[in-house]
Amino acid sequence: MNTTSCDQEIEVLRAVHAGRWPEAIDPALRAHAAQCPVCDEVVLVACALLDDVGTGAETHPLPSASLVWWKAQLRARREAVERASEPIVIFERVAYALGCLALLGVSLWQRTRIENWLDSLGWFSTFPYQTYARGQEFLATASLFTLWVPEWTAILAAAAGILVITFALRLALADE
Amino acid sequence: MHELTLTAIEAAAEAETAFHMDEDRFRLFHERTARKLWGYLARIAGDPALADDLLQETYYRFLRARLAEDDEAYLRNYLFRIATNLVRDHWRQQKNQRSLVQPLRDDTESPVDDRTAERVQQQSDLDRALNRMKPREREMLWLAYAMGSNHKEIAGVLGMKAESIRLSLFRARRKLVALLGGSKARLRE
Repeated sequence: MNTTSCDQEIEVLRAVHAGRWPEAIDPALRAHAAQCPVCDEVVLVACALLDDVGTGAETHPLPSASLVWWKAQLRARREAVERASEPIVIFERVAYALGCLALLGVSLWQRTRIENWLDSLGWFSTFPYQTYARGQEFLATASLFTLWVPEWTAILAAAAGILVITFALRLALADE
Repeated sequence: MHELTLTAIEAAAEAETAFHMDEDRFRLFHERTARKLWGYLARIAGDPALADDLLQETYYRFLRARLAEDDEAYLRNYLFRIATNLVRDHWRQQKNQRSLVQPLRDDTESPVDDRTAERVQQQSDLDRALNRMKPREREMLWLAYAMGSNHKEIAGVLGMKAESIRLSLFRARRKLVALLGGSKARLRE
Protein backbone atom coordinates (compact mmCIF):
# COMPACT_ATOMS: atom_id res chain seq x y z
CA MET A 1 0.00 0.00 0.00
CA ASN A 2 1.19 3.54 -0.72
CA THR A 3 -0.39 6.94 -0.26
CA THR A 4 -1.99 7.14 -3.71
CA SER A 5 -3.37 3.64 -4.20
CA CYS A 6 -4.15 0.44 -2.33
CA ASP A 7 -4.23 -3.19 -3.49
CA GLN A 8 -7.62 -3.63 -1.87
CA GLU A 9 -9.35 -0.57 -3.32
CA ILE A 10 -10.75 -2.44 -6.33
CA GLU A 11 -12.27 -5.04 -4.04
CA VAL A 12 -13.74 -2.30 -1.86
CA LEU A 13 -15.16 -0.49 -4.90
CA ARG A 14 -16.72 -3.72 -6.19
CA ALA A 15 -18.41 -4.24 -2.82
CA VAL A 16 -19.82 -0.71 -2.88
CA HIS A 17 -21.07 -1.17 -6.47
CA ALA A 18 -22.66 -4.50 -5.62
CA GLY A 19 -24.55 -2.83 -2.78
CA ARG A 20 -22.81 -5.04 -0.23
CA TRP A 21 -21.16 -2.16 1.62
CA PRO A 22 -20.85 -2.06 4.59
CA GLU A 23 -22.98 -4.87 6.02
CA ALA A 24 -22.52 -7.76 3.58
CA ILE A 25 -18.77 -7.80 3.15
CA ASP A 26 -15.87 -9.70 4.58
CA PRO A 27 -15.14 -8.25 8.07
CA ALA A 28 -11.41 -8.26 7.27
CA LEU A 29 -12.02 -6.00 4.25
CA ARG A 30 -14.20 -3.71 6.34
CA ALA A 31 -11.51 -3.54 9.02
CA HIS A 32 -8.92 -2.77 6.38
CA ALA A 33 -11.04 0.03 4.87
CA ALA A 34 -11.51 1.58 8.29
CA GLN A 35 -7.73 1.91 8.68
CA CYS A 36 -6.65 2.55 5.08
CA PRO A 37 -6.98 6.23 4.04
CA VAL A 38 -7.15 5.31 0.33
CA CYS A 39 -9.98 2.80 0.74
CA ASP A 40 -11.74 5.16 3.14
CA GLU A 41 -11.74 7.86 0.44
CA VAL A 42 -12.83 5.39 -2.23
CA VAL A 43 -15.83 4.37 -0.13
CA LEU A 44 -16.75 7.98 0.57
CA VAL A 45 -16.54 9.12 -3.06
CA ALA A 46 -18.17 6.00 -4.55
CA CYS A 47 -21.08 6.13 -2.08
CA ALA A 48 -21.61 9.85 -2.77
CA LEU A 49 -21.67 9.39 -6.55
CA LEU A 50 -23.85 6.28 -6.47
CA ASP A 51 -26.27 8.13 -4.19
CA ASP A 52 -26.30 10.86 -6.82
CA VAL A 53 -27.31 8.30 -9.47
CA GLY A 54 -30.04 7.01 -7.15
CA THR A 55 -31.40 10.48 -6.43
CA GLY A 56 -31.38 11.30 -10.15
CA ALA A 57 -33.49 8.20 -10.77
CA GLU A 58 -36.05 9.39 -8.21
CA THR A 59 -36.25 13.00 -9.37
CA HIS A 60 -35.62 12.91 -13.11
CA PRO A 61 -37.47 10.36 -15.25
CA LEU A 62 -35.65 9.32 -18.41
CA PRO A 63 -37.15 8.56 -21.82
CA SER A 64 -37.85 4.88 -22.33
CA ALA A 65 -35.67 2.69 -24.55
CA SER A 66 -38.57 2.42 -27.02
CA LEU A 67 -38.80 6.20 -27.36
CA VAL A 68 -35.04 6.56 -27.84
CA TRP A 69 -35.12 3.77 -30.43
CA TRP A 70 -38.11 5.25 -32.27
CA LYS A 71 -36.52 8.72 -32.44
CA ALA A 72 -33.26 7.21 -33.67
CA GLN A 73 -35.15 5.29 -36.38
CA LEU A 74 -36.96 8.41 -37.54
CA ARG A 75 -33.73 10.35 -37.74
CA ALA A 76 -31.93 7.55 -39.57
CA ARG A 77 -34.74 7.44 -42.15
CA ARG A 78 -34.70 11.18 -42.62
CA GLU A 79 -30.93 11.17 -43.09
CA ALA A 80 -31.17 8.26 -45.55
CA VAL A 81 -33.66 10.22 -47.65
CA GLU A 82 -31.49 13.35 -47.47
CA ARG A 83 -28.42 11.39 -48.57
CA ALA A 84 -30.27 9.80 -51.46
CA SER A 85 -31.68 13.08 -52.73
CA GLU A 86 -28.42 15.00 -52.41
CA PRO A 87 -27.38 14.63 -56.12
CA ILE A 88 -30.79 15.85 -57.23
CA VAL A 89 -30.59 18.89 -54.98
CA ILE A 90 -27.16 19.72 -56.43
CA PHE A 91 -28.48 19.28 -59.97
CA GLU A 92 -31.41 21.57 -59.17
CA ARG A 93 -29.14 24.29 -57.83
CA VAL A 94 -26.86 24.11 -60.85
CA ALA A 95 -29.90 24.26 -63.13
CA TYR A 96 -31.28 27.32 -61.34
CA ALA A 97 -27.92 29.06 -61.55
CA LEU A 98 -27.64 28.29 -65.28
CA GLY A 99 -31.22 29.44 -65.76
CA CYS A 100 -30.48 32.78 -64.12
CA LEU A 101 -27.39 33.17 -66.30
CA ALA A 102 -29.45 32.30 -69.36
CA LEU A 103 -32.04 34.92 -68.46
CA LEU A 104 -29.36 37.54 -68.02
CA GLY A 105 -27.69 36.52 -71.30
CA VAL A 106 -30.93 36.64 -73.26
CA SER A 107 -31.68 40.06 -71.81
CA LEU A 108 -28.30 41.34 -72.98
CA TRP A 109 -28.58 39.63 -76.34
CA GLN A 110 -32.03 41.03 -77.06
CA ARG A 111 -31.46 44.30 -75.29
CA THR A 112 -32.36 46.45 -78.31
CA ARG A 113 -35.72 44.76 -78.65
CA ILE A 114 -36.37 44.98 -74.93
CA GLU A 115 -35.35 48.63 -74.95
CA ASN A 116 -37.67 49.38 -77.87
CA TRP A 117 -40.49 47.56 -76.19
CA LEU A 118 -39.96 49.43 -72.92
CA ASP A 119 -39.73 52.64 -74.94
CA SER A 120 -43.04 51.91 -76.55
CA LEU A 121 -44.52 51.60 -73.07
CA GLY A 122 -43.05 55.02 -72.21
CA TRP A 123 -41.03 53.48 -69.36
CA PHE A 124 -37.76 55.32 -70.12
CA SER A 125 -39.45 58.71 -70.06
CA THR A 126 -40.02 58.36 -66.29
CA PHE A 127 -36.51 56.96 -65.63
CA PRO A 128 -33.95 59.33 -64.03
CA TYR A 129 -31.41 60.42 -66.62
CA GLN A 130 -28.20 59.44 -64.74
CA THR A 131 -29.35 55.93 -63.94
CA TYR A 132 -30.42 55.51 -67.54
CA ALA A 133 -26.98 56.68 -68.80
CA ARG A 134 -25.15 54.26 -66.48
CA GLY A 135 -27.43 51.48 -67.63
CA GLN A 136 -26.63 52.30 -71.23
CA GLU A 137 -22.88 52.11 -70.49
CA PHE A 138 -23.31 48.75 -68.82
CA LEU A 139 -25.37 47.38 -71.67
CA ALA A 140 -22.84 48.60 -74.23
CA THR A 141 -20.01 46.78 -72.39
CA ALA A 142 -22.11 43.68 -72.01
CA SER A 143 -23.05 43.61 -75.68
CA LEU A 144 -19.37 43.89 -76.62
CA PHE A 145 -18.77 40.85 -74.45
CA THR A 146 -21.52 38.90 -76.21
CA LEU A 147 -20.02 39.86 -79.57
CA TRP A 148 -16.65 38.49 -78.51
CA VAL A 149 -18.15 35.17 -77.48
CA PRO A 150 -20.76 34.23 -80.08
CA GLU A 151 -21.16 30.68 -78.64
CA TRP A 152 -22.80 32.31 -75.68
CA THR A 153 -26.15 32.22 -77.39
CA ALA A 154 -26.04 28.45 -77.77
CA ILE A 155 -24.90 27.98 -74.17
CA LEU A 156 -27.61 30.28 -72.91
CA ALA A 157 -30.25 28.52 -74.92
CA ALA A 158 -29.12 25.17 -73.50
CA ALA A 159 -29.17 26.55 -69.97
CA ALA A 160 -32.66 27.90 -70.48
CA GLY A 161 -33.70 24.47 -71.75
CA ILE A 162 -32.29 22.77 -68.64
CA LEU A 163 -34.15 25.19 -66.44
CA VAL A 164 -37.42 24.53 -68.20
CA ILE A 165 -36.91 20.74 -68.01
CA THR A 166 -36.10 20.96 -64.29
CA PHE A 167 -39.23 22.94 -63.59
CA ALA A 168 -41.30 20.51 -65.65
CA LEU A 169 -39.83 17.51 -63.79
CA ARG A 170 -40.41 19.13 -60.44
CA LEU A 171 -44.02 19.91 -61.27
CA ALA A 172 -44.64 16.39 -62.56
CA LEU A 173 -43.16 14.73 -59.46
CA ALA A 174 -44.92 17.10 -57.09
CA ASP A 175 -48.23 16.03 -58.65
CA GLU A 176 -47.44 12.38 -57.98
CA MET B 1 -38.49 14.69 -55.84
CA HIS B 2 -37.44 12.29 -53.07
CA GLU B 3 -39.68 9.57 -54.43
CA LEU B 4 -37.52 9.46 -57.55
CA THR B 5 -34.62 7.83 -55.71
CA LEU B 6 -35.78 6.39 -52.39
CA THR B 7 -39.22 5.34 -51.29
CA ALA B 8 -40.26 5.66 -47.68
CA ILE B 9 -40.11 1.86 -47.37
CA GLU B 10 -36.59 1.74 -48.74
CA ALA B 11 -35.55 4.52 -46.38
CA ALA B 12 -37.05 2.61 -43.46
CA ALA B 13 -35.22 -0.54 -44.49
CA GLU B 14 -31.97 1.35 -44.76
CA ALA B 15 -32.53 2.88 -41.34
CA GLU B 16 -33.16 -0.57 -39.87
CA THR B 17 -29.92 -1.95 -41.22
CA ALA B 18 -28.01 1.19 -40.26
CA PHE B 19 -28.01 0.18 -36.56
CA HIS B 20 -25.60 -2.36 -35.22
CA MET B 21 -28.01 -3.88 -32.71
CA ASP B 22 -31.67 -4.84 -32.80
CA GLU B 23 -34.37 -3.26 -30.66
CA ASP B 24 -34.50 -5.98 -28.01
CA ARG B 25 -30.79 -5.87 -27.44
CA PHE B 26 -30.82 -2.10 -27.37
CA ARG B 27 -33.60 -2.17 -24.77
CA LEU B 28 -31.42 -4.23 -22.43
CA PHE B 29 -28.35 -2.11 -23.09
CA HIS B 30 -30.34 1.08 -22.48
CA GLU B 31 -31.69 -0.31 -19.22
CA ARG B 32 -28.17 -0.95 -17.98
CA THR B 33 -26.59 2.29 -19.10
CA ALA B 34 -29.17 5.11 -19.39
CA ARG B 35 -29.32 6.21 -15.78
CA LYS B 36 -25.56 6.40 -15.30
CA LEU B 37 -25.07 7.95 -18.70
CA TRP B 38 -27.59 10.67 -17.93
CA GLY B 39 -25.92 11.27 -14.56
CA TYR B 40 -22.55 11.52 -16.27
CA LEU B 41 -23.86 13.98 -18.87
CA ALA B 42 -25.68 16.07 -16.29
CA ARG B 43 -22.62 16.20 -14.06
CA ILE B 44 -20.04 17.08 -16.67
CA ALA B 45 -22.26 19.33 -18.80
CA GLY B 46 -23.70 20.98 -15.71
CA ASP B 47 -27.18 21.19 -17.20
CA PRO B 48 -29.89 18.53 -16.79
CA ALA B 49 -31.87 19.83 -19.79
CA LEU B 50 -28.77 19.64 -21.96
CA ALA B 51 -28.13 16.15 -20.58
CA ASP B 52 -31.58 15.10 -21.86
CA ASP B 53 -30.74 16.27 -25.38
CA LEU B 54 -27.27 14.79 -25.36
CA LEU B 55 -28.60 11.47 -24.07
CA GLN B 56 -30.67 10.99 -27.23
CA GLU B 57 -27.82 12.19 -29.43
CA THR B 58 -25.36 9.84 -27.70
CA TYR B 59 -27.56 6.79 -28.24
CA TYR B 60 -28.21 7.77 -31.84
CA ARG B 61 -24.51 8.06 -32.64
CA PHE B 62 -23.87 4.86 -30.75
CA LEU B 63 -26.47 2.98 -32.79
CA ARG B 64 -25.11 4.36 -36.07
CA ALA B 65 -21.50 3.51 -35.25
CA ARG B 66 -19.79 0.64 -37.02
CA LEU B 67 -18.40 -1.26 -34.07
CA ALA B 68 -15.78 -3.95 -34.35
CA GLU B 69 -16.51 -5.66 -31.04
CA ASP B 70 -19.60 -6.93 -29.31
CA ASP B 71 -18.30 -7.03 -25.75
CA GLU B 72 -20.52 -5.27 -23.18
CA ALA B 73 -17.66 -3.35 -21.53
CA TYR B 74 -16.40 -2.20 -24.93
CA LEU B 75 -19.87 -1.01 -25.94
CA ARG B 76 -20.35 0.82 -22.66
CA ASN B 77 -16.98 2.56 -22.91
CA TYR B 78 -17.70 3.49 -26.50
CA LEU B 79 -21.01 5.01 -25.41
CA PHE B 80 -19.31 7.10 -22.75
CA ARG B 81 -16.64 8.20 -25.20
CA ILE B 82 -19.35 9.52 -27.52
CA ALA B 83 -20.98 11.30 -24.57
CA THR B 84 -17.68 12.87 -23.53
CA ASN B 85 -16.99 14.11 -27.05
CA LEU B 86 -20.50 15.52 -27.41
CA VAL B 87 -20.14 17.55 -24.22
CA ARG B 88 -16.74 18.80 -25.33
CA ASP B 89 -18.15 19.76 -28.73
CA HIS B 90 -20.90 21.61 -26.96
CA TRP B 91 -18.37 23.50 -24.88
CA ARG B 92 -16.37 24.35 -27.95
CA GLN B 93 -19.50 25.71 -29.58
CA GLN B 94 -20.38 27.72 -26.55
CA LYS B 95 -16.77 28.93 -26.33
CA ASN B 96 -17.11 29.43 -22.65
CA GLN B 97 -16.65 26.29 -20.68
CA ARG B 98 -19.05 26.23 -17.82
CA SER B 99 -17.47 26.36 -14.43
CA LEU B 100 -20.68 26.22 -12.48
CA VAL B 101 -22.93 23.22 -12.36
CA GLN B 102 -26.60 23.90 -11.87
CA PRO B 103 -28.28 21.96 -9.12
CA LEU B 104 -30.01 18.85 -10.39
CA ARG B 105 -33.10 19.20 -8.29
CA ASP B 106 -35.68 21.84 -7.68
CA ASP B 107 -34.79 23.14 -4.24
CA THR B 108 -38.29 24.39 -3.62
CA GLU B 109 -39.55 20.84 -3.33
CA SER B 110 -40.04 19.93 0.29
CA PRO B 111 -38.56 16.62 1.42
CA VAL B 112 -41.19 14.08 2.32
CA ASP B 113 -39.36 12.37 5.15
CA ASP B 114 -36.16 12.48 7.19
CA ARG B 115 -34.34 10.06 4.91
CA THR B 116 -35.13 12.15 1.82
CA ALA B 117 -34.16 15.35 3.62
CA GLU B 118 -30.84 13.79 4.52
CA ARG B 119 -30.22 12.70 0.92
CA VAL B 120 -31.11 16.14 -0.41
CA GLN B 121 -28.61 17.68 2.01
CA GLN B 122 -25.95 15.18 0.90
CA GLN B 123 -26.68 15.91 -2.75
CA SER B 124 -26.36 19.65 -2.33
CA ASP B 125 -23.03 19.07 -0.57
CA LEU B 126 -21.95 16.98 -3.54
CA ASP B 127 -23.26 19.59 -6.00
CA ARG B 128 -21.25 22.30 -4.33
CA ALA B 129 -18.13 20.16 -4.21
CA LEU B 130 -18.36 19.05 -7.84
CA ASN B 131 -19.09 22.62 -8.96
CA ARG B 132 -15.65 23.57 -7.80
CA MET B 133 -13.86 20.83 -9.71
CA LYS B 134 -12.58 20.86 -13.26
CA PRO B 135 -14.67 19.08 -15.92
CA ARG B 136 -11.85 16.56 -16.52
CA GLU B 137 -11.77 15.75 -12.79
CA ARG B 138 -15.53 15.27 -12.71
CA GLU B 139 -15.34 12.98 -15.75
CA MET B 140 -12.63 10.86 -14.18
CA LEU B 141 -14.34 10.57 -10.81
CA TRP B 142 -17.65 9.64 -12.38
CA LEU B 143 -16.16 6.99 -14.61
CA ALA B 144 -14.03 5.50 -11.84
CA TYR B 145 -16.43 5.54 -8.94
CA ALA B 146 -19.95 5.71 -10.38
CA MET B 147 -19.24 3.46 -13.36
CA GLY B 148 -16.50 1.33 -11.84
CA SER B 149 -14.30 1.69 -14.94
CA ASN B 150 -10.63 0.74 -14.68
CA HIS B 151 -7.76 3.07 -15.58
CA LYS B 152 -7.40 1.73 -19.12
CA GLU B 153 -11.11 2.20 -19.78
CA ILE B 154 -11.06 5.73 -18.36
CA ALA B 155 -8.07 6.57 -20.53
CA GLY B 156 -9.91 5.26 -23.59
CA VAL B 157 -13.04 7.28 -22.87
CA LEU B 158 -11.23 10.53 -22.04
CA GLY B 159 -8.46 10.24 -24.60
CA MET B 160 -5.72 10.27 -21.99
CA LYS B 161 -2.69 8.10 -21.37
CA ALA B 162 -3.48 5.17 -19.07
CA GLU B 163 -0.33 5.83 -17.03
CA SER B 164 -1.45 9.33 -16.12
CA ILE B 165 -4.85 8.24 -14.82
CA ARG B 166 -3.70 6.85 -11.47
CA LEU B 167 -2.18 10.09 -10.24
CA SER B 168 -4.82 12.35 -11.77
CA LEU B 169 -7.56 10.26 -10.27
CA PHE B 170 -5.89 10.26 -6.90
CA ARG B 171 -5.64 14.07 -6.98
CA ALA B 172 -9.25 14.46 -8.10
CA ARG B 173 -10.45 12.10 -5.37
CA ARG B 174 -8.42 13.96 -2.75
CA LYS B 175 -9.85 17.24 -3.93
CA LEU B 176 -13.42 15.99 -3.79
CA VAL B 177 -12.95 14.58 -0.31
CA ALA B 178 -11.45 17.87 0.85
CA LEU B 179 -14.28 19.84 -0.73
CA LEU B 180 -16.88 17.59 0.82
CA GLY B 181 -15.27 18.44 4.16
CA GLY B 182 -17.98 18.75 6.78
CA SER B 183 -20.38 16.50 4.98
CA LYS B 184 -17.90 13.64 5.14
CA ALA B 185 -19.44 12.14 8.23
CA ARG B 186 -22.97 12.38 6.80
CA LEU B 187 -21.89 10.72 3.57
CA ARG B 188 -20.14 7.90 5.33
CA GLU B 189 -23.25 6.97 7.36
